[in-house]
Amino acid sequence: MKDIEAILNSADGITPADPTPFFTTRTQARLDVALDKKTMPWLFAAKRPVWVAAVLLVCLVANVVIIKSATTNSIDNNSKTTEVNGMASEFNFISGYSY
Amino acid sequence: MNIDHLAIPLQNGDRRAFTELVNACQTMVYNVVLNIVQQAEEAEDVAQEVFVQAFLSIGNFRGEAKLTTWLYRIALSKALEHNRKKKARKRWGFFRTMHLDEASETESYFDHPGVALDKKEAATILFRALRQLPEQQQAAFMMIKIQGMSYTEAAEILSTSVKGIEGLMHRAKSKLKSMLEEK
Repeated sequence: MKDIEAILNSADGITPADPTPFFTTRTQARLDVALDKKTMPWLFAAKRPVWVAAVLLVCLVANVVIIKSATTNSIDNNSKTTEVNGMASEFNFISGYSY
Repeated sequence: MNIDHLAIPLQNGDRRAFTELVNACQTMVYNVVLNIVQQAEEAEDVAQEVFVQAFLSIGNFRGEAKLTTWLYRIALSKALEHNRKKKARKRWGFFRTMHLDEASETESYFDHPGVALDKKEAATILFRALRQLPEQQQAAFMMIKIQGMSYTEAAEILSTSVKGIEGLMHRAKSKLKSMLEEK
């Protein structure tokens, strides 16, 4: 019982511990980071490799889709023009007019 | 320590006022956090976070309490939150490293640098037992027994009555006693 009381009272008169001497400087640096994060969140997103990889992947996929659709459209247009012009000459529509 | 005059400059984003706040309150904040977190490096990290949080949310400070009381509350809640997150991480990692976690939990002990040499061993046992208490009891015991606060001051910080603090202290002491008797 006496031991338990001694344990419970062991923290009486404890002297406060000191933080490291660089505490203030480190806290200021930390505040700078927090303020930057608040004003420019995109900058912090850009610093993460996973975000950079995701953005690059989206750009790559978008490029492939755009190039592919442009190529398909030009082929389609050419074949349609030839087909319409063929029909026009077959049925003697106005010659020299390209449909 | 009266730092209430810093409230308005801080609300205006004055960095010099922030430095003054850190210089004036770092020992208080660090010790609140250290007594709860019980690990020097982690405590310093959390204490820095407390000041950053205080600067970012100074707009919410309405002057109803002292600036030190408000800062103390932030420190207390950040330290308890840190412990909660640490416990949650341990719980999730339990299945993966069951034996390792168990070992580190029982072996880890906190050696407070401010404890007198003849009380070191007893204080280590006390700090270990303190970790097992519910948060409110832990906070009350830490403020009154370790930091030597009055019941009125502790009641103001925990936003409760003096009777409430007396109840918390009574429950904390009897729980600690029963835990220590078991060992």
